[in-house]
Amino acid sequence: MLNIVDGIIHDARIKSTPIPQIAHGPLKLIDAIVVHQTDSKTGAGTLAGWRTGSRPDGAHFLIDKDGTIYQCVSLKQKCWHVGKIASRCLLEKSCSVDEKSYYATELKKDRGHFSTFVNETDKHERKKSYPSRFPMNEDSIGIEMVGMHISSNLYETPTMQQQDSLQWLVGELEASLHLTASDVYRHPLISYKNPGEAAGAQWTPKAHAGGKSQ
Amino acid sequence: MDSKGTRGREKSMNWRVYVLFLMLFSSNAIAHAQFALPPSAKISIGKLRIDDKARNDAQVCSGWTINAKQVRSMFRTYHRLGPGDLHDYYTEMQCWIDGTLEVDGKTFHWEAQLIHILNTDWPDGVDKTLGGKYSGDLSGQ
Repeated sequence: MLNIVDGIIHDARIKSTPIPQIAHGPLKLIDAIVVHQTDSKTGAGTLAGWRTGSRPDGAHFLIDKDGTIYQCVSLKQKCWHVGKIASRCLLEKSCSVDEKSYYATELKKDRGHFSTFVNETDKHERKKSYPSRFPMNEDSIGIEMVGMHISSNLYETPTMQQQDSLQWLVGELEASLHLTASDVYRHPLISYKNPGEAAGAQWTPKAHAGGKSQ
Repeated sequence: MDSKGTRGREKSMNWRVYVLFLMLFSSNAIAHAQFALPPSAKISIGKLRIDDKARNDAQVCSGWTINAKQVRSMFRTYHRLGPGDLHDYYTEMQCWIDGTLEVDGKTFHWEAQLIHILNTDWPDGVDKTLGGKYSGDLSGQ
């Protein structure tokens, strides 16, 4: 179990590196963990970018190539790391009759207006409670791993040190925050992002895809 | 005297604001116009390609078409993306329409991706990603 004081983890494996520029108000509950990759070459570059405040996006944790874990934001504060969420029931083919009908109508109505469909889906999903929907910024914590975007469906594979740190961090967070393996997601599963992001990340000893749907 | 002095300063300030605005506007326009295609460019447009393993993108993307005018508009108005821009600011649907450009006997490639993303090797043969209006920032708002 982690020693968490006021949202900050006190552990020799975690470097506390507060970056208030990427904290966006109180995080009232934690339902899930979302794993990301930065599309950057170095941890130092990402931390420096977050500190400038020019990009408000960021995550609670950053795992550098050498496995160093930085906690940048308190677990009591929100980060912008998810964006608009996709429909969980559409993806898992578990929509009720009403939901099916809603999405069929939306797809027809928004045909050719892709941003509108993404926005309307997000708005609709937010009315549901977790885990009927995917996690959002308002109920999840984010872990970024340093790694470059390579192509439209591929990111760099995380290093062994990153995998070790991710596995340890996710395990400790699950135990401390009363989450399970099914509450850990890769970013592109829940939002419309590059499917290669965090595809190579493994947080359990066995290869585990994460999320109930994979 | 005071009143004349104030008017003079106001005029000078107005000019400075005007020049600043002009510089900002023109630099923005130049930055955006750097990938504009010449009128002589011949554009070929391929078929819609969808990775249907990805989420429910197939349902969303089906029926997406683009024409030569839209391709020209993308090249004219999109800007070059840097590291992290796609991740932080764009929705990346798994569907693409690709094609070629013929300019002065040389062939270049382009690939449009939803939403507002364009990969291309125009005009210098170097692969790059351009982006239009942000389509998916991470604030979720």
